[in-house]
Order: sequence, then structure tokens, then C-alpha cells
Amino acid sequence: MTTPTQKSSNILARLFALFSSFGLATSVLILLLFVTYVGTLEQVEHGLYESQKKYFESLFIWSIDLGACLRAMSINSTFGHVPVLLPGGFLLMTVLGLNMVCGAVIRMRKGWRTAGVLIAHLSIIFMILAGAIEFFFKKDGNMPLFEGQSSDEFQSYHERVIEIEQVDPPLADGKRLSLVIPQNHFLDLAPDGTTGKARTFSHASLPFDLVLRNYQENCEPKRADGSESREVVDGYYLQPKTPNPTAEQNIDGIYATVKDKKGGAAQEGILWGISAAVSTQPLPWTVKLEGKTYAIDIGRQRWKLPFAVRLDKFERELHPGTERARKFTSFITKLVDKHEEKKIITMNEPLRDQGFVLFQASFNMEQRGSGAVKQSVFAVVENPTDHWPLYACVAAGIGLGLHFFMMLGRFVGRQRKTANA
Amino acid sequence: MKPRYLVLLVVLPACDRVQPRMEITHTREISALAPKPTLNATSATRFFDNAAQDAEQPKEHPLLWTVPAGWKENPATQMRLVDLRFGPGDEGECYLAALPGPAGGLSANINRWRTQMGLGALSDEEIGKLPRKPLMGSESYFVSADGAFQGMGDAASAKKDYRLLGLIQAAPELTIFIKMTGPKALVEANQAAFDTFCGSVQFRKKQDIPMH
Repeated sequence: MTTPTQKSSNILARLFALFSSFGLATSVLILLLFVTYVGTLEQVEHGLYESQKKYFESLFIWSIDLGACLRAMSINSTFGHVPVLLPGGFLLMTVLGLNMVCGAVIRMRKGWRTAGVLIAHLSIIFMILAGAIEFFFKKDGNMPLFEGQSSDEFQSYHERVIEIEQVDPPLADGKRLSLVIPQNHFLDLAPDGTTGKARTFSHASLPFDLVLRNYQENCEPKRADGSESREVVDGYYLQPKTPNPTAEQNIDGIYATVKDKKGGAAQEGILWGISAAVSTQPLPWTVKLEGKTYAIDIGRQRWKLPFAVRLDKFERELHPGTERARKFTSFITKLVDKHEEKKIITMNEPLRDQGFVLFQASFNMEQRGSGAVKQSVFAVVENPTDHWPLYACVAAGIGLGLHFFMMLGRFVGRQRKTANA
Repeated sequence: MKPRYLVLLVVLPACDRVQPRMEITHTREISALAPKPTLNATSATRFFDNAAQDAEQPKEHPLLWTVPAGWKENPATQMRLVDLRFGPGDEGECYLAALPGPAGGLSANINRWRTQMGLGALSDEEIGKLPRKPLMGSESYFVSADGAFQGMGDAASAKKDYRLLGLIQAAPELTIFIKMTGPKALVEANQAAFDTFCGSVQFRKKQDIPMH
């Protein structure tokens, strides 16, 4: 008769045997292959961002858009979403990492003969760990700058926020501070009928509560003519638009109500994401209450850089005789405190500093008066594991190379023995 | 030995559960380099509703001119940038119009006016000999025609003993017309006023035109 201790030991042993098994590794890798294939097909219609969230950053996959997958393979199809239950990319990679640790490191025979393989396995675990850290801690976005403009902030591609800033009177210390409502607090406020689901937000420093409702992922304010059934505020309503597969191009909007905490009249407004995207002239909704003025707006989450960047000059080279860009080059000044440093950011030559990387992403031209003003757009990434995949690949190469030459040496040795025998 | 249990602790992350009423807990210090917001913008401005913005703004005329003494001014219309009346019964009219491009061509326009006065068309050679007068700093063709003015109507409705005075300035980008019609005697008496008005017309300077 087994004791409880023996029972728990048995259970743990079985779990360890499961997680260290070659069969589990094979199953996970096959599933990863399938998920990668289907996710790549589906992203043609649904966009990279949506597919990434659904297939590669999820614990489970609940459906597959079979029609989209078939159409991506040039097969006409009217199929829709097919319900499934599959492990998502995040879960698969977690299991794979656990499997590598249990089977490829702990359980593996260790000796000088398996040193190379052990190094290779450890480097793969290192790469999986890099992916996990990147998933939780990476920040990426962009920073558009006109020539002559300076900035020390970059904005997320996808993360939305609603911000409330008291602009008048300004804060005593001269700083500008905003209250931030993160997107996971309002993305679910989808339209429902004419008024939609609502949520109230409050802060001790505000003389009002902010009620948000009717969030729309991609929309456009339209002037009301009295015939619409949608909620109209100040002569406008939000017209929903089909979400763009390129998620960054969606312009979201939401209805907002400011309610005086002392029971005064409510003020209604619409927040529209384009206002915050006009980088030189943000156009928030202005609310006045108790002698104070507040700016309320919806936009992208912003993060601060430990240095500022001023775009001195932007140059665009074209392939001769074409309008195709050959090279974009931004001549910038990096500003830290009062110290200035001239730098150049161009394609394949980013600026790396203090854990941040600024890549030359694209450019815009904006007509102003009689001339055009150039705007350079930098992709900004803060990734603690920026070079870890490179290190992992080098280590894996060393490990595999070591193992290969050791095996080669043993093989040659055996051949010689056989020949001499 | 007491059984040792490995307790698998699944530490759930502090769930940021959404509720109907929530306290704002996140703040952000806005960079000193960030652009200041434009306050009190109307919904039309915030939503880039150009038609509504234009309706909100008082329109500034692109031209400046002097109304001769005794003449009256009517509101501008889409076709008539300046619309003036004179005479005891406002039977005399003088207006300025501008059309993009050659607007049909110099000859066609001159002869159109002549047709309105019940007169025959001039040849290109005859048009070339018409007198010139300055208008807004450039040369323009001066047209003077006496006849029965039918305007846009037919010959049956033509008003007899009318005079037409006009200036046409033709340029590739824009053609400007100043046309004065009325009873012959009235027009004759107001010819100096016509010259004064034509001499006063000029473009409003760029800095005077508000930028939207």
C-alpha cells in the first residue's frame, strides 16, 4: 500500500516524466508549426496585429477563420469561423520551455560527450526566455518629428489611453501631468443600441466624474442631419467604419460625459483619436468646471525617453529615374540635459542608447503655406532582450559545432581502428 | 516524516478587473517638449469638418475696391464677386466676375457681349485693335458697345438705347470681367465713375487674408 508521500512522489515523477518526454516536445513542435501556418494565413485578411494576438500571444485558440485561410491560399471559400480548441502560441512556448528544462537539461545525461548538445539546449531555453521577457516588458512605437522639432516621447502603435489634463490653472511646479485611463478599462464599452455600455471614472483631484460609453475601434465623426438613430453630441455622431487589418490605421472614438460631483449640469463630448494624432496641434475636448479648464482626449499611450531627439534635417534619396525611395537619412541631435550630440539615423543604422533603439521607419511631407515640411518617422523600441536572440544563436552554433566536431572525431577514430584491425 | 507537499502556487497577477465605477490610478508626466493642446476648439475644428469651419468663419473677400459716390453695392454672389447699381431706378449695373482659365477665350467673350447688345461679331484683327486700359496692374481689353441690350434674354425683351462698357483681362489662369450696362445717357454720365471703380480694384494682400 502506497503512503501519501509515495503517492505525491509518484504524481511528481509522472509529471516530470511527462514534461521531459520527447513525445511532448514533438507534439508541441507540430502544434507550433500548425499554429504558425494558420496564423500566417489568417493575417492576410485580419492583419498582423489581430493574428498575432489570436495565435501567438494567446493561451488558447477558440476559432479559426477557415475561409480567410483558404482565400489566402487562393482558394475561393465562403467558410466563416470554425470553432476549435487549440493551445495558443504563448501556452505552447511555455510548455516547450518547460520541456526543454526538464528533458533537455535536467534529465539529459551530462558529460563531456554531450557538452555541445547541452550548450545548444541551454541556448534554446535562453531564446525562449528572451521571448517571454520581450512579451511582458517590450515597448515599441513611433516618434514622428518635423525638421526642427524636438521630442523625448514615443507613442505606442496599438495601446490606447484616455488622458485628462488640467491645463488651467497650470500646476504649481510648472509640470504637466495627466490622469491616464488605460485601454483595458474602456475597450469593452462597445456600442449596444443607442447608448451603449458605460463606465464611470473618478479621481480625487477632479471635480467631476467622467462617464465613457460607446467605444468604437474605427470610426469617423459625422455631422448629424436629424435622421440618424445614433447618439448625437454637439451636432455630431460617431459613424462606425470597418476595422482596418493594419490596426495602426484605425482611428477610434468614444462618447464622454463629464458629471459635476456637486450635481451640476453634465457636459457631453466626443473623443476622437485623430485629434491626438495631429502631432503639432492636439485638439482635445475642452471642459471647464469650477474655474478650471481640462483637456480630455483619446490617443496612443506615450512613453518617455531618457534623452530628447531634435530632427535637424531629413534627406530622401530616390532610385535614379524613379519615385522609389533608396535611402532615408535623418540628421539629429541627441539632447541629454544640456549636452548635445550630433547623430545620424538611416536605414539599417539605428541609434542605440540606454536600452532604446531608434530606427528610421518612414517619412511624411506636409504642406504648410507655400512650402512642404518634411517629417521623419522613427520606430522606437525598448526591449531588454534586444540582442539575446543573437547571443542564443551564437551559443547554439558553438554548441552544435562542438558536438559535430566531437562526433566527427569519434567517427574518424573508429574508422581508423577498423582499418588497422 | 510528514508528507511534504509541493504546493503548486499559481500566483495570479493582480487582476485589473473592470467595474462599472473605477478610480483612475495611472498618471503620466507630460514632456515639456510635447505640444500644448489647442483649447476650446469647436467640434467642427476637432473633427476637421471643413465645411462647418468655413461656415463658422466670416468670409473675407479676396479683392478690395472703392464704390463710386452715389452707387449702391449688392451682396456678392457666386458669379458676381462685386455687384454695383447706379441710377435713379438702379437701372444701371456694373459687376466684376472672374472665371478660371481662359473662360472660352477673349474673342468669344467680347463677341458674346456684342451679341447681347444686338451687334455683330468682331474679327480677331478688329479685336486686336480694341483700346487697352489697365486693370489690377495688367492690360485689359476695353469694350464699348451701343445697342439693344438683351442680356441673357431674347431680342424681343431687349432694352433699346443701352450702352455697354467692359474690361476683359485674359490670363492663362484666370479671366476677369468688369461689365457695365445701362441706358446710354446714364452710362455716359457715369463713365468717369466706371473708370474710378476699375482703377480701384486690387487683390487683397496675402497677410490680410485669414488662414484657416
